[in-house]
Amino acid sequence: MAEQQLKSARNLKIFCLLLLLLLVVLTGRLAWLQIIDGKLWSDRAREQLQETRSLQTPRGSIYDRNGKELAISHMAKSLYANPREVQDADALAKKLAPLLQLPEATLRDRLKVKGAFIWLKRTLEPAEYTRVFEFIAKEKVRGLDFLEESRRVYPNDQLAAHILGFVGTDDKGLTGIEMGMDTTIKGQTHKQILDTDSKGTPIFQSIFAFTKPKPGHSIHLTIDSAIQFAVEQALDHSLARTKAQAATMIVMNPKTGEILAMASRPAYNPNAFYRYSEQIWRNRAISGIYEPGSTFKSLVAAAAIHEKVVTAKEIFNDTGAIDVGGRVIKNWDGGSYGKMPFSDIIKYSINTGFAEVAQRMGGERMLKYSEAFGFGKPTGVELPGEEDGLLLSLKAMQPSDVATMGIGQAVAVTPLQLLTAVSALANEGKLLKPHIIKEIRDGDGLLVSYSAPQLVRQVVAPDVAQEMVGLMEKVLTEGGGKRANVEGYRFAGKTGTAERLRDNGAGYDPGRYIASFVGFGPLEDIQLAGLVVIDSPRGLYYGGEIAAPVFAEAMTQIVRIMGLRPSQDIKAFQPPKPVAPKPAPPKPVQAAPPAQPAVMPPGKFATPDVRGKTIREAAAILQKAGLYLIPEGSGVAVRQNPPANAPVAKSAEITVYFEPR
Amino acid sequence: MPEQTKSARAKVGARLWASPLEGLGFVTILLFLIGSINVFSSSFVMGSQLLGDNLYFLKRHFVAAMIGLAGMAFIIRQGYSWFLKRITIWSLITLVLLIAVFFIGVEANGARRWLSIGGITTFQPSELAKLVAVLAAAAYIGPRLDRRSVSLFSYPLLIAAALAALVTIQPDMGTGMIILGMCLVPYLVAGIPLREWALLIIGGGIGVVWLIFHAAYRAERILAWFNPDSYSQTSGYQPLQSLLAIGSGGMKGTGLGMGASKFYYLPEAHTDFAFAVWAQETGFVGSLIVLLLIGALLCYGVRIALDSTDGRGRSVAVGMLFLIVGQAIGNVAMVLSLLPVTGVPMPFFSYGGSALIVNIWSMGLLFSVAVESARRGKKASQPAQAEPLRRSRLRLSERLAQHGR
Repeated sequence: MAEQQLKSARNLKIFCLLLLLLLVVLTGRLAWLQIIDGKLWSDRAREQLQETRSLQTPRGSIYDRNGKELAISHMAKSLYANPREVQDADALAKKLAPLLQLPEATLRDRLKVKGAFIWLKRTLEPAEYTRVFEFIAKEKVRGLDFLEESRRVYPNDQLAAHILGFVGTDDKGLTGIEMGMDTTIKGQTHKQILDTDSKGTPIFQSIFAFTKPKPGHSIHLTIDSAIQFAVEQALDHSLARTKAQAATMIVMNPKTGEILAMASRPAYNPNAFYRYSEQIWRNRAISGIYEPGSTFKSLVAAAAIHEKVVTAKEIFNDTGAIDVGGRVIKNWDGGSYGKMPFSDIIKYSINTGFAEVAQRMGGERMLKYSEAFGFGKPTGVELPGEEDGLLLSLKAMQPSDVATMGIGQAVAVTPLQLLTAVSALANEGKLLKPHIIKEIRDGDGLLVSYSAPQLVRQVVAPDVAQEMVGLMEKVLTEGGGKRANVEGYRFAGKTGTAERLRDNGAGYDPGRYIASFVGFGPLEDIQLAGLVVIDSPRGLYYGGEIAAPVFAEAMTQIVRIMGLRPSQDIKAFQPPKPVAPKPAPPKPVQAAPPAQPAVMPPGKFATPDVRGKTIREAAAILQKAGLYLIPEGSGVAVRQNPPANAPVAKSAEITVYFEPR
Repeated sequence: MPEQTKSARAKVGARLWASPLEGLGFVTILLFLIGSINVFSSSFVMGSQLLGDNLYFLKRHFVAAMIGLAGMAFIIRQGYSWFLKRITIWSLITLVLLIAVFFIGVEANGARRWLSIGGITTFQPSELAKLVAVLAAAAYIGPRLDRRSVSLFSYPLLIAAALAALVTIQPDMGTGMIILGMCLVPYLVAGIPLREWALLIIGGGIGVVWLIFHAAYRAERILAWFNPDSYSQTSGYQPLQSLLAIGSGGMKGTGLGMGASKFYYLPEAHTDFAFAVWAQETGFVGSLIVLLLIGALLCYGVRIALDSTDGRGRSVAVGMLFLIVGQAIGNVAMVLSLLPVTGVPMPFFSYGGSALIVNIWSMGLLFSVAVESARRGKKASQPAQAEPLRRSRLRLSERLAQHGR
């Protein structure tokens, strides 16, 4: 009995020791795993836990100078799958295929991919998204979800298409601003290392890492979409009239170098850029080189007057032809004009006179001034694909080349180069660098950079430039550019007609011409300079007949858009007698009526100024004036479009931009 | 006299508590608290994401603990003998419950293991079967411990075999094996004839081999046990994830709640593999504390068993002790890939209401053994005179205790 009990006590102790031994073994194993191999296991665990994801932030928007959207990235839903969570890939693929309009096999393959993330379809249409969303909710599908992705949209279709360019796959800008500023506005691809659970859902701190990234920098152009529209419309009308092959027009502010509009024809829609040929994508305003012809004469004249090789009053004797070292230069109409001062040589664009002036200047000075006016190298505008143009070297220059340069041949320029150079005449001889980007703002709307007018050089003396303005005004009032007249405003300019260079640059294309007109105004305070270039019109081809009316049509619109004061001294245009210029009547102060601008086109009246007003106040003011308010933003009005005092018709919509203050 | 005080003081200094009973109680409370923390930490992800309540599992854990504690109070009040005497009733009840499971059990994951209680919650009778099998063995061995040798060929093993068979067809072979194994341990400690040892080893060996090769998945599990990386996507996935969890814990762990494995990497993170979550979040330090607590529980339990002068008490103590410590060692060994994956839960750590209730009751039975010996020791030490007298009085009081109440 006692023996049995002892035996059981002994067994019990053995049992206890055995279990304690096992516990020691377990401790040893734990120490091995956690202390000796701990680093190894934790690296493996980390590897399993972490997932690298790339996130695309939306591409920055492009706005015009008034904040109107020209290119936006709207967020679209993209469908992705987490194949680890997908339960029945085959059945799911079958059901999804009709909803997404994708082949079933493609979907099946994607749903079976190893990993926790695969795109099924990018940037769904809203209707598609709704269908798939409802399907997921109804069938309680697991492993499918959406991510927001940016999709480039050009809300105005073809408007300013050549400036904006477009974006290809992978968020890469292919032409225009989209290409030139690609790195600035590109949505960033953020690589995120996340801790996730086994289904790929972020855990721990990674939950907070999944915040929506800010969009890229936005670009605010110097372009005014209203002006751009007027320009494009004028070009379209012209193309319809002349059946020209191509056309381009640029409008800039010669005092600042800001490009207000820049259009090329034929046009394309950047929302569907792939439907057009590469030739149509080209921005002719900066890449289409041509012989400027007579428009170049204005620069030759300025240089010659500046160099004092000629004065406006010097009398020339035009015989109708001049031999310039083996080549005879004739006037455009083949006729002879006899004796006349140099001012008339300019007015009537007499070739012989300019050939002589050029010969007096000599090749060296001609080249020096050409370079000083910016020819032969890109202007440096913020657009890709700008051409140099062609400027002969002094060595290669024949005596005839010097003379033909005087009439704008033997030199090839881009439209922007020419307009920039002529703008210098409108800006007291100061050549400014043209620019198309007004400012760049970051994702929060804060200013990153701002383009101020940039002086390149003083090309001719201010008084010379001033004299040229006067001489060029005569082209419009008395000379070959009458059809460029903007009713009610004083403009100056120069027509041009040139034989068209072959596309390969070798010689001329017989029977094809380039008609152009360059001009600026209003002369009281020059705000606008414009160049129209029409390539290969059918029928009439003289600049004064083909290009000048386009200039007139566009500028007539533009002066109204900008609310510029018509010139007082032109009687033809003063229908409603201005009320405001009268000294302010001693009326009670509180009843001050909205300030009337001097003169308004018929049927139009001045846009009231609502800047500084709240939305409520602005709405009341505009309603009183019979206008409609389109508010943007909130707070206090900072800008309005059309601007204050600009002529508007009744019932027009006034977009007012409010900012919190 | 001064020497006596000195030694008494030394004794107090060496022990944190006066008796194995107090020590056991303290260790049990610690294990329960740590286990509860881990139940929350390993289940809140699943609870919040699948059930919308991150406290879902912890709440149920505490409700089960309450039921367990109520049972424990009853067990200590009645004493283990009361339960041993009614072993037939318990066996029958358990058999009926297991048969009921076979017919009206709730099915989940292809197995019927649970009985629905009014549609509110479920109960897993196989957990109760573990306890009953051990209790039956103790009831048989107890009276024989002092007199004649025990034999394997006795009714408790029959009961255990019946329970194990019913559990195995659920199917839950792991638990079936545990039921049989639990029943055997008191026999082995009591001492069985050499002949039966040989029989047990041979029979067990054949049984294990047959079971392994009877089902392909078991063989694969064994292979995966030796080489988890080769089976990382199939049978080896769970052991590998468990090793990743434990190993990545390192010395100090990732911090409570900060382990990543419970985010659906480690299957059964809140039940069978709960200890891996603890090891990941508290590191070697935390794991060692738990192993030390289990070691302490073992030592106090063995002390209680040795202190028990009653053969039945000793058998009950050994059985209950092994029910807790044996499962703990088995579970940790499984989690550490020292054993193939079998469904051995970690007492107090693995979430599971039925198991928790049964574990608390088991501890209750162990306590009752200690309480009984303490009561007897007091009675015996008060007169503290002649040895024979004490013996006879003991017997008498025992008889009185058995019949009188």
